[in-house]
Amino acid sequence: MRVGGLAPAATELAECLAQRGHEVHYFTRAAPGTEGDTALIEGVRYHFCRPEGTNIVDFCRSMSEQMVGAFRAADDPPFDVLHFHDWHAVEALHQLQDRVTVFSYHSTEYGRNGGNFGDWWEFREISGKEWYGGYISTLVMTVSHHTRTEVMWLYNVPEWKVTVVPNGVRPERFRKVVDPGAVKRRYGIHPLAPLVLFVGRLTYQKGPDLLIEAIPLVLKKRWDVQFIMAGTGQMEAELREKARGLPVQFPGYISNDAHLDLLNAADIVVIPSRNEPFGLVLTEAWSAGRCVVATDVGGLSENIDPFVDGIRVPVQPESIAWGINYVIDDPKTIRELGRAGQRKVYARFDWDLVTDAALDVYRRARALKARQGT
Amino acid sequence: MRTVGVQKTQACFVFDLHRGLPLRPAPLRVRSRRDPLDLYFETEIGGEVRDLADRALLPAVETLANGLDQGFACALAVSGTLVDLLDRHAPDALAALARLARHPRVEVLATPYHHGLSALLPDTEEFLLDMERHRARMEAVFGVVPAVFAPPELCVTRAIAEALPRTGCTALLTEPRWCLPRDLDPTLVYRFGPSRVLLRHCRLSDDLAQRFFSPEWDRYPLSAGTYADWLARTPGECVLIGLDLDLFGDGGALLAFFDALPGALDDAGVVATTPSGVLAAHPAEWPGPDREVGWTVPDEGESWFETILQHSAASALQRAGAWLPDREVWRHLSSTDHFRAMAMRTGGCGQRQSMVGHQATVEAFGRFMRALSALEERMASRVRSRKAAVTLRTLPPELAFVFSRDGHPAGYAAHSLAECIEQLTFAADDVVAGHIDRQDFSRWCRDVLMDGVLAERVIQCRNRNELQETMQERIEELERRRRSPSSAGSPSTP
Repeated sequence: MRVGGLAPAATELAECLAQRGHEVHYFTRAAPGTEGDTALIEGVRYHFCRPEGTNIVDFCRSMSEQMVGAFRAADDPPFDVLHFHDWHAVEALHQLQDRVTVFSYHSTEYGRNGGNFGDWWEFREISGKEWYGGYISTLVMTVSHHTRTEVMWLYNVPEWKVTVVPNGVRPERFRKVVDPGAVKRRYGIHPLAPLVLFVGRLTYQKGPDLLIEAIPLVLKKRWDVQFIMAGTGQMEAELREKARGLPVQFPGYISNDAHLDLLNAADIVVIPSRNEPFGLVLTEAWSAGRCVVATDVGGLSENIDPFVDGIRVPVQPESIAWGINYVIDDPKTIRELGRAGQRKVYARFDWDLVTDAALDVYRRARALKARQGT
Repeated sequence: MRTVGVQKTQACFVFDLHRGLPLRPAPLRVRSRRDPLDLYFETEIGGEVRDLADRALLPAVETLANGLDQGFACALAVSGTLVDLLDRHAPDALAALARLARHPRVEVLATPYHHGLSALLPDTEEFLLDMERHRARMEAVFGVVPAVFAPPELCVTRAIAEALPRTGCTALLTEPRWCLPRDLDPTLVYRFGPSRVLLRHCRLSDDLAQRFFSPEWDRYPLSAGTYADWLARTPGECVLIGLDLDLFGDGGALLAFFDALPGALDDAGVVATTPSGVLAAHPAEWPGPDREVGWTVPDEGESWFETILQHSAASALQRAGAWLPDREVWRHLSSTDHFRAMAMRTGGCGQRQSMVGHQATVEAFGRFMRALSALEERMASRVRSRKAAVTLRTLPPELAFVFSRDGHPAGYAAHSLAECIEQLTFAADDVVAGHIDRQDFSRWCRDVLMDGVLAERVIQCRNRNELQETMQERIEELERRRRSPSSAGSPSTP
């Protein structure tokens, strides 16, 4: 199971650009086990670096240095636009700030911290880099209006500089014809028991604890509901303890196939995040035609039309339970909301549309840089 | 909006009339010569039937009869159970219904006598028998012989569709969701073998059955003129609107709507007709081979049952139907209202949307299982091995094997040996292991199923496969012993 929205979003954007005939080079950290320094995958030229560091900040500094080295080697003829994703590569952005640069916020440190400020050094360091990235880049992209407002507020990024380009999704990758009963059986669940699914990192930001607290309130209304919380994270042990005696399973890390099966077999997908810049889980659940109950935050708040393609609730266990209870006993509404979401994915989050939007930002960045230069 | 020079839309209104016998909270356990139905069902429901007649039936009949004079037409699917109840408790309502049914612009449809889901039937013989009884009753009361089949919930299985010509029906009504391909246009006439198929238009049916009553709906309140206009704008060969007649009991709004409908249809250029009228408008060789439909509903009818309770009750009923020497009570248990009561919300179209709490569904399930369990126990004495029949019987919820983990229910319970095998296929490893360690299966077999032999065998089982095999073997043994000499042929009829 892939974790986080950054990697797949950036990879797929690169592939879409390459498909349109652009030459795309992708500088990234080598996955463990990767051999060689470059590779051509789906038309995109990958340059791998192997950073080292004892903490995340040093690690990213080392990564940025290696990236710049690889970049200089490949910069002939010179690249037209440089697109940086999140704070990890801000030091590379610093060294290349004279070029046409676009900086993407997939989230902010404040947001990842559940919408709270932190007083530890990493928080300050990373927030500082996020501010600096927005400050020196030619233009800025965010994945939702919510993140746009957040970076304008947190980092004083001027309004004209920020454009919202949502993450795209390939709906066909998340649709699979499965027999829900058979999938449920595999997890020891009665084939007709309603299944509520959570997919994501088990971290404070994603609010898995809120869902667990909501479970007894759901069971009060209907005791045959079953829950699966797929994913790993630092809260896992605590959550398992909290869920003792409740009908919840923690399959931990799940393969892509298992993810698809669960996603297409679940009756409801719950996204209880405390902060969600975009919420890829939402577009993935919609791609599979699932009914979504999500908290009223960030990109989720922006993209869900309440009672039309999903249920939106305040960030608290009682409300999450209310949202689940509202649809759990009504298979017809569950199907209708899921189908409406699926239609929305095709109409708004198709990669074709998103690539158009990204190309538009690149063009404006070039024009702006050209004017600044003269 | 009058459409001139264009073929007029044909609209077909079909009303489903049924009331089953309500189940007793617990069956009576008396050894008397009284009517066996009385042991399981509340049979003294004169007050309720009277209320149904006064509140819904009589006003609806009057409204529809007035409409007929203005060119309206409709079809009625009346269950035999309801006719019996009306005959006994509200003969005036039955007489009014009969007057309506004899009108040339009203068609009486064929439906199973007990309004049982065809997906539940143990065999097609049972279906043919039930249809034959219904046909005879319709002929006696209404003086007509139905030719079009309207199954309960308009849900049909392939087996029933194949057997249909043997009932004398030439066409059937159903819904697109039971057909293949699933995205059939409901406004066209289809074919299955020699039978022709009409499909209910779910959206337009639900406009009247559900949204009509909802002030939150953006088209509320819906006027007959607007609705007739929607019908007129619907392209196709016919629009089939299927509704529960119960809906008329929800205040006078729907009555007023149907009062105004015939005139509105006329203004909009919509022709009201009956299913036979639609078929007559299209020649007998119509439609062509490209309009052949298939069925999604397997014979187990799983897709109709959306909750664990419904599934559990339906499988128990099916298993009982396969051996009961006398199916009369069983037939009343197959009535769809028992199963509707086991879901918190009805999902079907053309029905009133009812919402009940989970507790109510659990209670409805408990009543049903207790009745079925008692019925099987009573019938056990009529087969060769009473002991075998008792072990194989359905159990009420309080005797079921509740799968659990650390003392918390895992979410399912086995209400018979057969269901236990089924649930062992998916029960989680730690759940099964826990029960084996505590010897729960063995104790259940000995103390509840009263089968010491099985208990001894089960105690040796170390894993789920061994358990399933042992139980399956025992079921086959017991079934052979249970088979009574008299049940070798077809089950006896009342």
